[in-house]
Amino acid sequence: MLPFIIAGLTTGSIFALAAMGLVLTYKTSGIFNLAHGALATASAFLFYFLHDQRGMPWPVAAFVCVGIAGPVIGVLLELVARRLQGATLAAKVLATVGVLLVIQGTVQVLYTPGEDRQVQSFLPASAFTIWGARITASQVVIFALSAAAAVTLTLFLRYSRNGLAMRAVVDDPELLDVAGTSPARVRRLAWITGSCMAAASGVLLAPLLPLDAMELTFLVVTAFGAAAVGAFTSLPLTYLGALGIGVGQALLQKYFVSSTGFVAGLAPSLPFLILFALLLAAPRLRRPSGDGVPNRRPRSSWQAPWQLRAGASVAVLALLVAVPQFAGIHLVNWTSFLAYVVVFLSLGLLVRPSGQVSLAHVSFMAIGVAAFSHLAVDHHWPWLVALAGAAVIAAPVGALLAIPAIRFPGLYLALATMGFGLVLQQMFYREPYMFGTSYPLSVPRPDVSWANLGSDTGYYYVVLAIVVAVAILVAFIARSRLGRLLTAMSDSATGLAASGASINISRVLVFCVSASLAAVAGVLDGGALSLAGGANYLPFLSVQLFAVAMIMPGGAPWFALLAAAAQTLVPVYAAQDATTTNVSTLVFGIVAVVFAIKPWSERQVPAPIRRLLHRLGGEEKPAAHGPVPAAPLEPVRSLTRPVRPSAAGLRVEDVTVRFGGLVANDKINLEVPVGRITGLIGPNGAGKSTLFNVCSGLVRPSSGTVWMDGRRLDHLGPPARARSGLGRTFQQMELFESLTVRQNIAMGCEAALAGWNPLDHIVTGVRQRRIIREQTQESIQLCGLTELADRHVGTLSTGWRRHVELARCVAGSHEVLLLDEPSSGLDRRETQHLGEILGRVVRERGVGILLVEHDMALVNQVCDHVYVIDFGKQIFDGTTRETRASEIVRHAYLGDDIDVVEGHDHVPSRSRNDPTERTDVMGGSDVR
Amino acid sequence: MKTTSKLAALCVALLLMTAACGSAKKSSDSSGSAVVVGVIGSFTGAAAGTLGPFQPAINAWAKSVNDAGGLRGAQVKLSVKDIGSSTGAAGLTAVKELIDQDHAVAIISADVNQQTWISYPDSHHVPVIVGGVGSNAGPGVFQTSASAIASAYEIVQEAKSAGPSLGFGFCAEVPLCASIGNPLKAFAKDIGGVRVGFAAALSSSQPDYTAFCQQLKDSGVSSYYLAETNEIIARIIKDCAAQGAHAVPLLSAANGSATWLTDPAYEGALVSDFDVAFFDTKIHAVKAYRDAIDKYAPDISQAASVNSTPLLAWVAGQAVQTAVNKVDGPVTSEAIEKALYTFKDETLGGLTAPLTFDKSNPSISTCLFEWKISKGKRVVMNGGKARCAPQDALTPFLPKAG
Repeated sequence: MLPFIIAGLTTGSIFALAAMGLVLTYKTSGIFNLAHGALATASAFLFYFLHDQRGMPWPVAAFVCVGIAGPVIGVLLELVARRLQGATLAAKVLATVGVLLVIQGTVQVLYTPGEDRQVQSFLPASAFTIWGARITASQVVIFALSAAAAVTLTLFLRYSRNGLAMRAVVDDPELLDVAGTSPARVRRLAWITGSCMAAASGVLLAPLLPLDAMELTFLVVTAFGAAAVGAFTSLPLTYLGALGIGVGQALLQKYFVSSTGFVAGLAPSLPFLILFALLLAAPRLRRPSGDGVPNRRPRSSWQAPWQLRAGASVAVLALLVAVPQFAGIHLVNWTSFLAYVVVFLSLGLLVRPSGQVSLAHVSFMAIGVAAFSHLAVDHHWPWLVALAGAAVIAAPVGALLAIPAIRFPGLYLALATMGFGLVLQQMFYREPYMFGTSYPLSVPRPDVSWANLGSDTGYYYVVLAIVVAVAILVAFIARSRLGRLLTAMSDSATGLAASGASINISRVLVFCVSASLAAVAGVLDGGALSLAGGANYLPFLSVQLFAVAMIMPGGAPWFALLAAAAQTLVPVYAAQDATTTNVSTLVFGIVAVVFAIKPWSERQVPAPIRRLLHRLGGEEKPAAHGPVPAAPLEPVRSLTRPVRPSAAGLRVEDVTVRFGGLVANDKINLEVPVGRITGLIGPNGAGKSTLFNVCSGLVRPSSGTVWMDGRRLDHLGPPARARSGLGRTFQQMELFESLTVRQNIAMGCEAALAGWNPLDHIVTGVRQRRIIREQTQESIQLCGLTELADRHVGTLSTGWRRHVELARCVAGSHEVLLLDEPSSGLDRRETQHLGEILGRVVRERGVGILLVEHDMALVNQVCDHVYVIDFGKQIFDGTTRETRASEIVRHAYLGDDIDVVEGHDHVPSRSRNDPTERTDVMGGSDVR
Repeated sequence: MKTTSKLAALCVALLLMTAACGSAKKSSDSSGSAVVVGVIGSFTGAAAGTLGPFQPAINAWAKSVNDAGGLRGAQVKLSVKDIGSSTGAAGLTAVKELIDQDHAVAIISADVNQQTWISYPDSHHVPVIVGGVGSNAGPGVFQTSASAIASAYEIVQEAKSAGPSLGFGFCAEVPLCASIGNPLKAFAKDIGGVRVGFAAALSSSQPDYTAFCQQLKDSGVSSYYLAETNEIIARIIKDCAAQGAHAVPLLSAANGSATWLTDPAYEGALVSDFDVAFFDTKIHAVKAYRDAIDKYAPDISQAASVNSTPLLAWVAGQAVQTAVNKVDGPVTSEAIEKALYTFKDETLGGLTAPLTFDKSNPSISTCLFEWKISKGKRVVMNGGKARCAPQDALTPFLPKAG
């Protein structure tokens, strides 16, 4: 066993270098560099050029790679990363995929793939024997280098000034900036260090493997597993994880070396199996710096006039119908194009409305075509039934993959899907129930007596018909409740969950649908050639498809048509030689990076083109929206059943929340009865929002209980709590930015109706539609939003956005509303207007409100009872008058100095780091 | 993942595979005074390491023919379609272009994915001459160098000569790589006296092959064969030798490199060759081939001196030339196909084992040549004669027609 452990420690040491660099950049920038392996590749080829081709002594060549090229690339990457701060995950993934393609394209332009290239071993070749195991000097050197790097980096982070800054930038970059250290400089240092480590791993790997750009790039994905072991944050654990994976792979090779079944793929799949296991079992994974501030940029909701869209649809359909007339020898390629339209439509379901990242769609195609072949050929199922069977088989696989999405959406889902593709290929492609090991699978075409559907032309029309059906299905989904939920989820999953929708159901559903459609696409594509083999479904293609889907403009099905054309037709009609292909890869990579870092506004259709299209469509130019003054509240005919006066409301009992050593809430008790407004005040950092999060289920308390209408809520998640009658707004608004005011408010009602039942996520009954329509209208009127109802929330001022969030909350059938600083950003008049609305909501709906506010005038205006907390402790509760009169409150919380700011009363906003700080001062006639 | 290695591995695997078949019918005429011969293959991209020399070699053949007066007085015009690493419909499109646009009268294939298009030439009556890469068998498909499935039989025979057991490593990424496993076991049983000791999947992303080498040592196999890329084969042989494994490597001449003669790890290796030994310039046809390569494709002279891939191309070209010379009348694809079916014990001047193409049987060659590396030299074995596999033994592993 010892030789295997030694071999595993050696390869693990190389991966450890790469993995530590990866973690360092991720934790400091929030960008998981999928191109990390490409950096190693670039370094390996540079070393080959310098050492093997130019004869440079290896220490000099290694220094150039690690000490010069590494930092230069690190600086460049930091420049890209800086532009991605606050970008969506999809944009970050796209950018790193773009970098990967740029490096890969460049390397392949310089070094044509396929030719034999071998870096000669440069480390000492001498060997010695310990307990019968042969150990080479190079193995010792590699292990020692990696261990030294791990120790040095750990000590550096722990004890050096720059190291401390790197750790600090993870926790609080703003504070670091205030302290005089530029977060950008710190992150640049991290990128340089990370790139150097990737470069070092490339140099060490170079003599161990054939010099192949793709091979080396993806070999370093082993580092992903190690990074997962370190929870993507801990360098020592990452180092140990890499060693463990290296040894584990070596031992798996030892024990399964003679296995030819799926276990033979265990060793190369180990990093991703570990990643999967951690995603399923790990208690929590921390978000890195730069990943914590969600991007609130509204997505474009612009659409060309319907007349144009309808005309274009007819034109495109006519063109597609006419394809067999002009395609000639390329008809099969056009069939493949249609199949890829389905692929992109399915991918778009995930990437576009719901903002999820799937890097496994080619794997779903593989599952689909393999399943279809076995059903149609081996079991003689009719073509259409076998097609449906393939779609059904892929669905649970999609659901399985969605599990990490439930626990850890975002990046971890992206990594899980990427890993899934690799595991499927490594372990299952060879199995007889997939592609087997002999000949390509036969993929029959439909065979009917009344038409020649088996011919190229006949089959093309079959595929076209299915594409049209899928496009209609996707359009239906987009317009269905599921589509609305996905759009809302993409804008604000938290806001949607707090409105009562079980977003995990939506996530699983859309994954199932997307996987099924990709499986159908796989069948259609396989039918173009009537054959399918594993080599047609390489996992890297999924990454490419994702990037293409991201870049293409327009909504469904337009982006899918463009993407499929780029993927299948352009290579056919453009002159394709190896150099052109490699240059195309390079150019596509550059486009991907530029697109990803481009400001959102520049990604939209330019305004002049929009105007032109509107003119062509015969529509008037959309009116520019000016500021909307607060209008007198309209009388409302209340259609919603008021809350029972006997309802018990919300009760918080002995709630304590600890974040590590920090006690955010300490045995808090409060009651929020229905029919009145209860205030919760305290300085910034007092624990008010934390308490809200406990009530709504976003934070699990260390101890204590939350009751709603006499029912314990402790075991319920945020959606279930919302459905139990607890609505809320957020200090950082959680609006659905790409929806209109009316759609936002409607979602406040519809989300709860979607609930947990998957069917209810798809189908909206007539009765439910009526309820949604009535409650939405009632809420719009209650909150004075009639004039704004059809505006996009992204175009509204902060004050009106607050009103919209309130209206969304009101539209839900809640008994108690938790309103977190609803007047923040409102001027005096708007605040007064808000107060009127709150009073009216309570009067007419009978709900209870727990109001967190800094504006004491509003508190005094609307609250009946006030709770005061400070440093997580409840220091007072009583009526508004009693609160104002309380010496404890005045002394401990309000302070002795009271100023008046334009008659606008504010409680102090205080930093947790400095309890004495007063950034704003409370006042107001009532208080004084 | 690993597009390149997978495709390269696939290329190697297909050297060891049989695949689908087609049916021969009539074909279009050649265009003008030139005889258009289509050539399709993965000459760049992932498979370039193996197939790179194929294209210059077939060009050299065409130039040599034209310099010698052409084919029955007509110039040979090659239409080459390099489909690189494409795995989709690129091959089919290329073949359609060859047949429908370029009016090729025959197609020489070095495409590892030829099963994706092999039915199209069949339906258009254009013969496909498979130059040793892939081994689609059936009407309209003519293998001019030994069949890959026959090479599996030869491997077992070589293994038997090396000792009682054989180890087998195959690329993990491409399912086809593993496909030779069952034929090896079956042939070992047929031949007797040798068994497959173990079969192991090898990932091209493994930086270390300790497990495989240790298995070689622990299992005590007397020889081993690797269905892998050239680079990985070289790495494993080197690693295993360094770790003290003494099993004899069984190699294919198509993977040959200069290192074989200089690295002690290759000492004693047995090499199967699809055609006659490319280094045996005592044979007139081989001498002519090497001279032509030196003259018309000097860039691959070095490759042609260590590797049999260029000879595969040359032999395919020679088969076309021989067939055309047998044509009585216009040089059409149908006439060429008919001429090919007249091949009986045809050796193309001594370059191949006797080829007999018969419509009633798959047009495959079942015979391989063998040589070994001894004291840094290549030594021809079996007196330079090819060793043939019985057709009956191969038949179960050939694809059904259709």
